[in-house]
Amino acid sequence: MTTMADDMLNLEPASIEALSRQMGEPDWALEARRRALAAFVELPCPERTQEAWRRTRPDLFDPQGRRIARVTPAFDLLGEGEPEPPVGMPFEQALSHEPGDFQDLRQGGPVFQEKDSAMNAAWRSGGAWVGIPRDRALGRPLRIAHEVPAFQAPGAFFPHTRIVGRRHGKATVVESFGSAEGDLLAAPVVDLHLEEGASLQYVLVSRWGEGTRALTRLQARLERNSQLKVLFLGLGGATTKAFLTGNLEGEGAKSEFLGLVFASGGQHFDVDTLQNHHVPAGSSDVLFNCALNQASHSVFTGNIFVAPGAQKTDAYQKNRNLLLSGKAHADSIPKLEILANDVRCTHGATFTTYDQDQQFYLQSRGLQDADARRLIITGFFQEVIERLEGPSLVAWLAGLMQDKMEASLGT
Amino acid sequence: MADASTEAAIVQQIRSDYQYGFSDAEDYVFKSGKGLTRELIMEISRIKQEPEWMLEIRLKAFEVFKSKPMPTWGADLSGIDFDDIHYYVRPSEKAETDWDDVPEYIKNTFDRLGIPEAERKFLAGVSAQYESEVVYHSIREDLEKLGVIFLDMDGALRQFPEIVRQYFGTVIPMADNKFAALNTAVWSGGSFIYVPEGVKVDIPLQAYFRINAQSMGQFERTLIITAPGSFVHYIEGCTAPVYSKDSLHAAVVELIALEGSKIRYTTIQNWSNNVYNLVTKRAKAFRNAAVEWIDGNLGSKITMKYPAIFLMEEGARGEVLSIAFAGKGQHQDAGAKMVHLAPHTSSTVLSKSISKDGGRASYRGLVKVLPKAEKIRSNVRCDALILDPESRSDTYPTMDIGNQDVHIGHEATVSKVGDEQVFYLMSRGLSEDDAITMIVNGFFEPFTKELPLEYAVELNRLIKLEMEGSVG
Repeated sequence: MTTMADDMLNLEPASIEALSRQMGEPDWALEARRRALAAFVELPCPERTQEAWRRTRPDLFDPQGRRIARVTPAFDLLGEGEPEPPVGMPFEQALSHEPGDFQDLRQGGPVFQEKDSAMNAAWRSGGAWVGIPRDRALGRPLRIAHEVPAFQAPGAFFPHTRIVGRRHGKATVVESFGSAEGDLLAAPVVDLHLEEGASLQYVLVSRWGEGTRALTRLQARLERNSQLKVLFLGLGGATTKAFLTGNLEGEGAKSEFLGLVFASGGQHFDVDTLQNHHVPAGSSDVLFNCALNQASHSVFTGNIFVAPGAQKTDAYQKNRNLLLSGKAHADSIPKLEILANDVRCTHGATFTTYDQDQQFYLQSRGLQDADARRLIITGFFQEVIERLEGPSLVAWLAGLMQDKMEASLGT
Repeated sequence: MADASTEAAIVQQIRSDYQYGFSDAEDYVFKSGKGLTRELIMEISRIKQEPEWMLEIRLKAFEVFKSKPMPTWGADLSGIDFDDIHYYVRPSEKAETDWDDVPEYIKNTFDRLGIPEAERKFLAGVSAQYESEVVYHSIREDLEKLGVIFLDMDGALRQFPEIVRQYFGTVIPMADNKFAALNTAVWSGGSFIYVPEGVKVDIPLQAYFRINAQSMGQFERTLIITAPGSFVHYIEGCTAPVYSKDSLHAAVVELIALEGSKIRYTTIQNWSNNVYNLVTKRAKAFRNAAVEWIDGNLGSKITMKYPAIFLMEEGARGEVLSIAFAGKGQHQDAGAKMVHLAPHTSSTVLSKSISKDGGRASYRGLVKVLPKAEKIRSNVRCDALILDPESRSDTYPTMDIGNQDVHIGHEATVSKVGDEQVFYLMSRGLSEDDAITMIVNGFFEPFTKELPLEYAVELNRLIKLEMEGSVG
């Protein structure tokens, strides 16, 4: 399932041809890599003075001197029941099989704004494609797993995942990113495109190994009356910076961005969410819960942008932080930029520790102190997890959180 | 005194919708040339007969000012030309103590602002800053007997140099930001208040600031110290006439609330729409002390103002209550900063803003909790109304929390005036205009009710004026 070439390529301009050849891509894909390389060279490095990089050092994601880890993802279905027709495959295979979904790459695009996105596109070394069929609802969640195995040199992994929800298609996709111990730079790019009336639940599980620095970019495009639920699950990795953006481009689109971070040890999570309301009558809802143990640090920056004319927008954003240790540190920057008046936009943020009233109540019912704490933390996660549909998915996610909690709290 | 011909010329410059937009013909004892030089700073210090140490502070701050870059965040400040500003203007030779001695043209200005009446009624002290110096100053005798010092800042430097030296720049260092450095270099006027131990000043002390000359900066410096167990409420109002050229106001206000004391500082800012209002306001609250900033922003072209409270010791409490009204061509970038440096401290921020006719209102705030500060409570609430599709509202809060044992909440909403509310009021016979004005007044009510009566009445009148023609 998971494979990696023995001879890892150096991360250098000359490698893109070999990479494209090894991955069996069409010629236009190599052209697209060349354009991305040119953009990568051209674009400036991010600076600490930029708002997005004030709390996480951008130089941690410098790819210099690394070798490229190439990983083919594994696909399976969660839960039980009838097998579903295959709708996903590795990204590089889809380039040949589903060229219609890659018009941007074939026609001189895309235009890169950020150096790291260009880096991913130039040295893309993995990823997946999913096409949700038109007018079909897929019952069982599709799971895609990317596992970077152990290797010697400092590595770099650049997967690109593209999910296209065709008109009135409906599905759940879970994507899990993991790695062995060792020094790895991972910079996944995910783009989600929902056509009219399409509906997608997408879960990104970030469970990297201890030596991984991850820079994740997720972009979603929502056409008329489409519905998207995204859950970002931050569990692993040493340093994580993530940019999650929803672009509401068709009237009546609805986006829900959920987040759950359990940070422990010296972990650092810095997540930016942005809901762009370009057109009227869109709704967005952000709920981001961060639990912090030991000397971990989390940053949540959320923005709701309402463009001029995007009337009847309904947007909500909430960030909750549960501080479990005296050494933990949490930042929250929930923003609103509203350029239309007939709107309802709200946000909230809270910081608390174990609620003493809750703890007292649980103890009065006979629970030990440690069990009461676990129950409080579990409740904090359930609030987010239960926003998702599908019992097999909810159970699997609750299990992941449970494992992380036990590992962090000890017994 | 303005004669008829200049009066007529001035009238032409006056924009009709700004009721304080009258201006007197300029008649000054000293008006500096435009631009800022080392020589000018030495000249200001010489005219004021300041001690050497103050001149040194000014010159050092001038160097800091030159070395600091303009802020790149927040509002657009590209319209400021530091070389096109008069940095010092003094209208008359000395601060007056009796109203009859105040020059006639200054009286005219104040008469139009309604200050003498207000004072006759019940004010404790009036210290009206007409440009750079305080020209009229009085304080009721019973306050003097209690040992309360209420002076203009220049007078305080002459009479109580040691107190000024002890506290000047201790809350806001000159290098805090470019405009604090500029103020430290060229400051003139402002208020100085010292309230002795245990004294509670039960009537508000008031000052009225006004910019008159064209293209001039106003750089007042205010310092308030409350000794343990004391209380004072200070009110400032700011108004400027309308000229075609932009002017700059860069004040520095430092408050020090010692153990168990309380300071309430109220500002009603109604600068005309060509003033850049870039003010640094910060307080230190010590053990069990309380500081409240009551901050109303109605005027100016651009305001950047984030009243801050450093909660230094256990039991300190901070509160900011602010409103902003951004009309045509205005950007109100205002907010609050709460820095919790000690355990068992608490803070509250309530911010309300309205944007209208293409105006932009932004809340920008900070709540910071240092690692050693446990048992913190903080609550921030921002509400914004946008009255038309051309206007804009932003919220930029930052929460930086370094301790576990905290209860911190932040909430913000942005919406329009509710259709149901307007419909209900119209069904009771109100016009749409009156209905919206009433809703806006109600929206600001938590702020208005904290003001002394005459200020609340004035504020409601100003809001009504701003709201005229908001329908259709």
